[in-house]
Amino acid sequence: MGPAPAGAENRGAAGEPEVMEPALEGTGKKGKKESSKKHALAGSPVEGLLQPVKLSRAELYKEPTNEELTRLRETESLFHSSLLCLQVEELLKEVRLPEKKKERIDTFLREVNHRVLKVPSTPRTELTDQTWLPAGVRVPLHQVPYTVKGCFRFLPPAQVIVVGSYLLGTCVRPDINVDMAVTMPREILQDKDGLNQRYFRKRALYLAHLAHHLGQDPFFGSVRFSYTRGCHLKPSLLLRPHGKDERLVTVRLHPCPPPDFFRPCRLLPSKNNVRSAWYRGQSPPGDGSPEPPTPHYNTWVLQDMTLESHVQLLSTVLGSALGLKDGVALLKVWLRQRELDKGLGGFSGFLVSMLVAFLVSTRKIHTTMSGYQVLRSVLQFLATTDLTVNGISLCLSSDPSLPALADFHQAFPVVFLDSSGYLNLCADVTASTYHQVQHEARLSMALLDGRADDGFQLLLMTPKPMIRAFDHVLHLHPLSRLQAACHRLKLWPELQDLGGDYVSAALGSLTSLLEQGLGSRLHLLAHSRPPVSEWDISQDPPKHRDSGTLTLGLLLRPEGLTSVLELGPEANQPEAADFRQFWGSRSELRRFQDGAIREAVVWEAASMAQKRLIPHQTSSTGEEALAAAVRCYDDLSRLLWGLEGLPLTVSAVQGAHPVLRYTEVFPPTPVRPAYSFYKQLRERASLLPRPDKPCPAYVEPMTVVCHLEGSGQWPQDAEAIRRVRAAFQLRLAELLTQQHGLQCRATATHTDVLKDGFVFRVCVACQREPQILREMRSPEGMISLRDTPASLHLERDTRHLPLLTSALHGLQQQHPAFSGVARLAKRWVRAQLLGEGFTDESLDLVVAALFLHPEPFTPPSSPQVGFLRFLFLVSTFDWKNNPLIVNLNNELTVEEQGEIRSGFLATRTQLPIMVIVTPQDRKNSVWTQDGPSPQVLQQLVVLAAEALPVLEKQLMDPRGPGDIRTVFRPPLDTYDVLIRLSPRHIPRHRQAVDSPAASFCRGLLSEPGPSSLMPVLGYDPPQLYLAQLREAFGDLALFFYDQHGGEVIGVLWKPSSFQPQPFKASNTKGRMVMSQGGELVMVPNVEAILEDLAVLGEGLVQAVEARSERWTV
Amino acid sequence: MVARRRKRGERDSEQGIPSPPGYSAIPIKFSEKQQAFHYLYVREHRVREGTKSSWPQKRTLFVLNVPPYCTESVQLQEKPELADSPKEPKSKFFHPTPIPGFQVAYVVFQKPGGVSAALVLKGPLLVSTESHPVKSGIHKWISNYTDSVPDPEALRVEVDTFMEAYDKRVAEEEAKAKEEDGVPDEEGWVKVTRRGRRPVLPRTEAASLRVLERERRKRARKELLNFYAWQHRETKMEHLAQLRKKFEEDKQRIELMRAQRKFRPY
Repeated sequence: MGPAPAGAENRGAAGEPEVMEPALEGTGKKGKKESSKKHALAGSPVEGLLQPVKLSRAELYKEPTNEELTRLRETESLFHSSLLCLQVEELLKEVRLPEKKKERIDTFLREVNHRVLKVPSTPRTELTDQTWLPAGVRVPLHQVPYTVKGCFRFLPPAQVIVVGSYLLGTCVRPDINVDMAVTMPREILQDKDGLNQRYFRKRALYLAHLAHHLGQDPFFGSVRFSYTRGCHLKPSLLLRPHGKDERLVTVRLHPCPPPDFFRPCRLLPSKNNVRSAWYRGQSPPGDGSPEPPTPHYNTWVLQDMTLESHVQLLSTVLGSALGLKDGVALLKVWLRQRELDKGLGGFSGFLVSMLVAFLVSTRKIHTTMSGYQVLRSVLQFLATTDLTVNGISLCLSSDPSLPALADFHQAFPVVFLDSSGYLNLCADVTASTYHQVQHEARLSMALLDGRADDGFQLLLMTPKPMIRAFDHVLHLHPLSRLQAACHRLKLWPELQDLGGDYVSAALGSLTSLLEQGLGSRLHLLAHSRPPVSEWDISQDPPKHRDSGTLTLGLLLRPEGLTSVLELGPEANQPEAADFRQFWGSRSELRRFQDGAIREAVVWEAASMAQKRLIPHQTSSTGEEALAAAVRCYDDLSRLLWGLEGLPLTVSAVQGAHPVLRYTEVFPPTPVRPAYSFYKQLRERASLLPRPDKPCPAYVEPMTVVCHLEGSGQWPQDAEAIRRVRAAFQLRLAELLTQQHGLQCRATATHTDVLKDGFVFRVCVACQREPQILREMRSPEGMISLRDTPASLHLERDTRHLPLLTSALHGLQQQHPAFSGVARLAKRWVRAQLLGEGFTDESLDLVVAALFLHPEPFTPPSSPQVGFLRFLFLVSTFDWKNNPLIVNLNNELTVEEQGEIRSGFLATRTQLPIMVIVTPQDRKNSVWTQDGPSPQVLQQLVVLAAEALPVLEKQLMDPRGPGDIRTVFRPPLDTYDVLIRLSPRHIPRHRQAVDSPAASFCRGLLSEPGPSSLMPVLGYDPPQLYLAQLREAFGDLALFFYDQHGGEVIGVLWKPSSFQPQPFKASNTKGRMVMSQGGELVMVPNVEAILEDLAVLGEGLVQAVEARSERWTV
Repeated sequence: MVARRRKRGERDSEQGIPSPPGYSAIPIKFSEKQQAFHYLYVREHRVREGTKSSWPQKRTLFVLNVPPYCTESVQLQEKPELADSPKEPKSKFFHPTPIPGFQVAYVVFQKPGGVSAALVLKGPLLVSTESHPVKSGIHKWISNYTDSVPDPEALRVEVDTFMEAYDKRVAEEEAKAKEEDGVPDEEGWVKVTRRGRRPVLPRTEAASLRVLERERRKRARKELLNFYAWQHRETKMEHLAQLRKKFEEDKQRIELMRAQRKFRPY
């Protein structure tokens, strides 16, 4: 089970004193405020935490009743597991319409029926004479061309009936819609009304008149127009109750023709019902070529004719079969989470209901199946059946006069015929949408077959918005450009068919063009469907160009991308560079495409703008530099292997630094120090910082662990081993200098090696050392092994870290986007000043989880989408009750994962708040042992939950206000004290989120110079300062800082330590004695501490801002 | 000594600074520039009769709450502790100096009079004065960095000395063990070691666990499963119990999820 609401964390944190640190009031308060907005806090603190189940023996082993046995058996056969069964039940309870509401809705429907039938008639007028319409209402249709033959008069409807899911009991909350078919009397219609939109015009006028009258009725809270399923020729009227019931239900009125008014054979997909002469004002080229068919137009007429028969069919099939209804409800939730059901050509709930009916008729679904089984069968069917090639039909008749499936395939991309055999239910569904549905169905089937513990969550509860699901998202704006595209592509017949909807007309050509152009690099191409908008009855209907932007989502194949990398040798970020090449210059584009360059160029502006924005911080040039460092490391490793003269041979050389797993936020560059900038310590071949100069560039040595073979020569005593290791460090330095001329500097624990401008820190390790540190001798002389802090620490550094580094290095080879995502994620966490609460490794592992367990998504192929999912994971994962299992190299079996989970529950209180499990580290969560604290994690959760919608909104609407960097700027108003630092002594000043326009010279040469002296290593005044602050005032305050060039340190007082306390000799740190009510108590000496902040950071600290309004002493 | 330097601080007597019973408070600040004071709480170092303390009685001043910028000379430690004796200085190569926070000081005076003189000090004391500046901030860090650049020769010498002593000790121990090998003690017991003529299993926990595990496996191999009717019945019952347990767990999970409103899909 993954996601938890933001509130849950908070609640849990309060309930578990074992892992709590003194409360961090400022952040805690904030979190509560934020979360309570979204979720009311429910339940007591203890309830937020799962407890290991304790059942007595008697309860476990009592004789089963027959009932219990049946229930257990059913659960096993109808569902995967009892958990899934319970979850599905709960979900259905949540989405199903409660009986009470049903009654209220029924009353409302009766009223609607009554009032619609009472709308007065109007006299007959020409269709083009619309002066009779009252002023307050506009015709909900674009009448282009305006002139059309025929007369219209309004007469009360012949029949008003409820159709659709409400009647079937398959409608799901929220947004309850009730569809009502309003049958227009025969007298209104004339012969040949099927031609040239005449029927649609009358339909619209009919609605306009209805709208006018119902709009004046105070019974209705709102009366508005909308397009039926996004089809702009077919408006419908939305009615909502008045008063507090306004949100209860929306009734949609759909006018429809009397039964059998139109002859179905006139509406075959090959027939034309919109004449070119009328539509284009010119006759088709005089050579007598036939009029183009208008399959979509025909379908829209047919849809209105079949409303009633469809609902009859569905009610016979679904009728009393509860499982089928549940299944349809689940499918609707499934579609909605994937945003597949909305807009023109969406895969609507009606379509899946019909699909279920089809599967029942072909006996793939049985009426006794459970909802879960129905869901599974439908997904299975979708995953394996390509309706774009092999259409299906509900029609059982073998009448030869019926059109063949092939005819439909010619006219429509996706074919699913209804029971009449004339109507293609999937007429508006594009091939892309259907492929997207198939793709999702396949993913979901894999998920269900994987028997994951949290399958339900991932399948039905996790939203998959486009921006989070696709690697690249392109926005097409303004849409009116597509009109020009239609003309250029000569899509006249399509426009004629679609009634001038140039967006739909161009969409098919566009997607196929893109698919063709992207070829093997593309896994899936999806497009957003124009949203169904509502408008006021006194307004003109929205135009096509008003439907926002058209958004295209690309899901890329990582393997395809790398092959493209060969094209651009300078490519840094494979896909970004690839795309820059592909879209960046027109000439490149021409190589791939034929004449139609326009569209591509339009997207380019929007997509590149957003792509450049986010990764700007980190990943614009990073990969190359990282690769160079890794190459240098490989060389060094070879040198170490080949070293002659070491008393013991090298048994392994392993990288243990973020650079060596490609996740260092700012990759190192070769150092070329300008000697004049430094003080030189010639006798030790080292450079030193000078107080009169700005702080020199920050050089972090890359840690490499060098294991030496085990041997009887190693001493059996921990202290002696340390000395021997020191001797090896010295020897290593000597040999590397002698044999390879490398500048080295040895200390007792490591040897720093300068190679090609990169500095490596080689740590010699002895395999047996952790074991020796663990040995304890009991009084009886039995030697047992017990973990000690020293042994755990050593084991982490010499065993776990290299293993993790190599595993993630491997992951990077599989998923080129890993590096970008990890670096972006870490940059964000650190920019929020929370970086020091999390180890580098823990964040890398969270990102690795996005690639190894992407469900319900696919592994991200671009940093942007990966980052969004990082934010989503962090903000929704229930850290309290779940370990994050990162199954590196797929080493853990499902059973082992189950064991890990139960072990986790049993030992929850001893574990840190954030638990990350890997195959190498199944119990201890080594990378989160020292943090984050519950408060810091909670703060991160809150910030991620805030950042995600902001970022998604900006990415979905790149023209909107704001800057992607907004989410990288930390809120500073929560801190009690701000310490402003002088950029002069911040070595990484240029790495700041808002890169400074000017910074200080850091003593580096741009050209390679002599490099015989060891540069200044790991000298970072802000970090040294922070270490001092934490040591001196750690009991009283928390310190927050962005190590990448932050100019400010945030300080939060710990409220608990501000409570006056009795005097204790062991606890006087920074406190003073005060007499309070005649008693001597100790309180923090805040005045002096504030001055200490400046004293300790002399030269670095610019100002200490105490925000006294936030705290009082 | 820091203490002496502090005495040079101006004596701006401030009456009635509250101090805990038995202690006197001495205001202290870093330099002239600061406005606020920290307070040192001092008393004579005294221990109960019979308790061993390495600090000389009567001559030692016990100082609490020493600010982090006082880093020089006197023996400083994090917590008051009685038994700490000035040990041999730890190797700076293998025990890096910790970062100072607020500390506790034991100031040993040459004469007992020093203690009483210190106890009546009124302060305020200054840590850093013009004539005797104390480094902090950037200057301090740079000097720390400079000090941390290692001297390989000194390290080598230290390692060699240590290892020589260690080897000697090990050799002595081994010689002793060899001597005792096979020789019964007063009660006639013979100590068996790994090195003896007939080496035995090492006495470690891991080894004994291994033996137990092997035994267990051997027994499990011989056992018949689902052979008797009662075994059958028990297996079935066990399965049922597992299902029940799982069901209970699931119910608990669902309850939690419901509380967290996890069933609201959107």
